[in-house]
Amino acid sequence: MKDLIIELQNIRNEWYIILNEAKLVARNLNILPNFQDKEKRSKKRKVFHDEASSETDIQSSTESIAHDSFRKDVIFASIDFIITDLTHSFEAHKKMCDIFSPILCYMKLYSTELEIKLKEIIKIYSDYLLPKFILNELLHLRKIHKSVFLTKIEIPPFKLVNEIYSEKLENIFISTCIALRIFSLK
Amino acid sequence: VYKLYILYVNFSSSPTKWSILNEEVSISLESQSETRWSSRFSAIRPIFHHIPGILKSLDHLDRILNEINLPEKIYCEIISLKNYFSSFECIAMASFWFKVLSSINERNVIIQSRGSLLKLKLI
Repeated sequence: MKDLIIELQNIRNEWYIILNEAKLVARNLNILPNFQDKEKRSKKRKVFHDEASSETDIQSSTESIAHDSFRKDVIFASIDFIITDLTHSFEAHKKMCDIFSPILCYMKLYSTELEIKLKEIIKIYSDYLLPKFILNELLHLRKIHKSVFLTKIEIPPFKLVNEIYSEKLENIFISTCIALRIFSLK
Repeated sequence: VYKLYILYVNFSSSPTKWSILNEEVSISLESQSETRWSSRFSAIRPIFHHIPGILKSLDHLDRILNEINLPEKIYCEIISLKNYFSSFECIAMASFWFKVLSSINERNVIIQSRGSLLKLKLI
């Protein structure tokens, strides 16, 4: 996710490269590589008979105004929206993983750490999880993990709940299954 | 997004139009789905790679429609699509969205293989 955000930032910064590529394609297709400007009613200014004409300057500036407004209002607005949305969902996911860390990383944590970290999840989901049961269940699960699941490493949450059910252990690890289901739904 | 949808609806609505598209450029346009996120990438990919072919098919369609009497709405839609797909804005947007969507799609495939999904809103 972090790499994706960096990659999108790079696309944002490389807008001029994308624009030049598009200009090349447009030239090959005989399309004028300019953005259409929305016509605005302009104020008429009195021009004196001896005043030099500045039409070319106005034309080039309208082109750059059209490009600038397209870049800011369409390109940057879209990519900034995506980056912000990605950052928010990344942070929310990280927060959720932190809350559920005792359930997800019960093999790595010490018993005291497990107890401390479980307090937060029990506080949030007090209606569904019972403090005494979940700690005992996780300590029990840690003991039998290697022999039942035939691996030392942790199993992903969705797979773990399925494994518990396939081994018919759901009645022993009731609170753990509930916590894993809550996490999978999030 | 709306223009892509109109283009897809226009060509997929009749087998004759679809055969014109296949005659000029052998691609199949894909619709976008709100639930299947990767469909956005599948929808933009043929546009990015085959803009000249799509323009040719729209020209071809325009010529045929001129010969027969059809409701003005259909004719206006083809003209509007032709104007949009022959604009620089369309080319720039196609290049930009192709790059953005392909990088998101790559990550999405990796995340999906791990049994999860990338939930993302797009404007």
